Amino acid sequence: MESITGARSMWRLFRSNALGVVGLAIIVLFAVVALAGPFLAPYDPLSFGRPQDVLRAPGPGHLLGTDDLGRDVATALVAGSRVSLLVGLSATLISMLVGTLVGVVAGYYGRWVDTALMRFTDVFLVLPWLPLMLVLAALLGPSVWNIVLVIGLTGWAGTARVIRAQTLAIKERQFMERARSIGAGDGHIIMHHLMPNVFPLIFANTILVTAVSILSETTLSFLGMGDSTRPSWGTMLHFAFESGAASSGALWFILPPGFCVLLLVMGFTFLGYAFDEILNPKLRKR
Amino acid sequence: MVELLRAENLAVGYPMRTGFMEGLSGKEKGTLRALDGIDLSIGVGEIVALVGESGCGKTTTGKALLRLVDERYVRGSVRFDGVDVYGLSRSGLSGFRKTAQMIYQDPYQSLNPKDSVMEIVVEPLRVHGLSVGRDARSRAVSALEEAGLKPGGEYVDRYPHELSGGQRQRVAIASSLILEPRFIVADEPVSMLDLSVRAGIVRLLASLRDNRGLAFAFITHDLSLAWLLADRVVIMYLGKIVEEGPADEVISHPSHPYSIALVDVLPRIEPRAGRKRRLLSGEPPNPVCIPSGCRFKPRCRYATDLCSEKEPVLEAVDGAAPGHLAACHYRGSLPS
Repeated sequence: MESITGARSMWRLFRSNALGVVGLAIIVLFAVVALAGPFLAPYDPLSFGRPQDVLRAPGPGHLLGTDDLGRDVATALVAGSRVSLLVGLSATLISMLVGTLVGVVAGYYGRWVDTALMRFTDVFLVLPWLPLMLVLAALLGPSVWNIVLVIGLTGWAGTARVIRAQTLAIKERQFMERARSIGAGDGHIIMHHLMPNVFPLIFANTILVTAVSILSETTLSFLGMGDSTRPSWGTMLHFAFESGAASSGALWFILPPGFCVLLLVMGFTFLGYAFDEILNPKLRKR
Repeated sequence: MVELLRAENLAVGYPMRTGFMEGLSGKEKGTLRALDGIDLSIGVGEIVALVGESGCGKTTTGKALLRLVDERYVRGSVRFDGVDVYGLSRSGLSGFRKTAQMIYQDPYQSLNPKDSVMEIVVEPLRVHGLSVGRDARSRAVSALEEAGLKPGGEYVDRYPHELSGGQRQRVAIASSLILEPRFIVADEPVSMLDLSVRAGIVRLLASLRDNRGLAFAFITHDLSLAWLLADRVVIMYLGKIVEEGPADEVISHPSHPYSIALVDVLPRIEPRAGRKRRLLSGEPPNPVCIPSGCRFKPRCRYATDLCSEKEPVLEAVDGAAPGHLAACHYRGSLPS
């Protein structure tokens, strides 16, 4: 029952979780690359190269070769990491805010509020999200922030369900009733008693949602809904695919962004699973 | 004795949720009568013990007195200081919450594990917007010491999981006392505690009554504890009061067959030779379908036809001390 663990003991548990440590290492690596990006890459990721630089194989000067417009692939990869992380994290923030709000309000107030909010959530859960995202992205136009909005507003439903379930569990704990018996109002009870006990779950869920958000961003960009002025890994894959990089054997152009997406999503998923295991003692290995 | 609280015909009934198909066919829903109409009066500085087995409605009574059960399911009235508790406005209710507190059975559950002892103890002050600020710490320390945690300064910065059960219960009591209430519902406050710390908590409650004039509704399943602490004992069975009276009187002359059975199983000092304990058999019926007539009839060794026909009401026991009431057709004539 003690799903609420102190920060220190959580760190101790985390360190002994190999999956989580690997995940965190991957994320830290990408975060450092993204932050140090402009200093790492010698080229401008957007300006076209000279005609003789088009689709060069990896070699000195261009570690990962060049793309069909003569741009350095390694530079694009570093610049893309910034966009992918930024979009992924911002969209997750929106998802978590909406999901937590809906979940907590539905779980805490119950009755018709719960019914109404949960049926609304169900609609978002069963909607085929890819067509919905495509339509929304097409309507709003290709900009990074529109993509953030689209991913954020389509991705909160699962979070709302999870947070509601946890809220229902916490609501039955006796200290909630005790708070009411001393005369506390809903605001105090939610902020002081409910949220601190739901927070660990919000935290673990955030990490898993980030993985999904990054994948969604890649999907949208690959399908051509991305912002071509701020190319992400998905945009790179899109242009690589369009230019026939795969069939012409220019694998240096198409493989690196794919691997980066895979690795980063894996990192977040590992970390998310690790926290799940830590916060849910039933999943803990003995 | 000045009356502090009076409940009249207080009842709590939960409609039973039926399945979807049953709902469609319009099948009659049942009601779970957790509390089936009781009258209760508690005086200033009086400890009234509510005694009964699990599911008899004693906890529901305590919560209903404090307006802590879902109001949609409550019938009857509760008056505190002459004011209708269920008719209170928002601000009136806030004032009532200051003067009437609850202590819970399980000190492992009733304290927020994320809060320090200090936060727990001064939370009622914060909630009511009373000045805390700089003297919060000293107020917490003095409240803890009053609840028997001395020196209080050693406890304020700790967390519930660092304390023993008895210490946690004292923290909960300190928190209840900080608003200087006049009435406390104590819901089995010692049943989760080790025998060795029980006496300390019970003594603390008694001293709060004697020194502060606090009134208690003391909920327990332990009749000997009720006899030890309470001024008056109320024995409940299946949502009704079956017997009530001065503590000594009820224990020495139980008049309802249920009370007789409860008293019979108390340990005695004199040898049991030649005396057979009249143990109860069976379980209390389901509170969704309460038997007609006397609700204790299915388990009663003295039941007659009259008991199936007519439900006995709570009436004075002939020849007993004033205030000793029992709900049995044969009160006063059963061998006790």
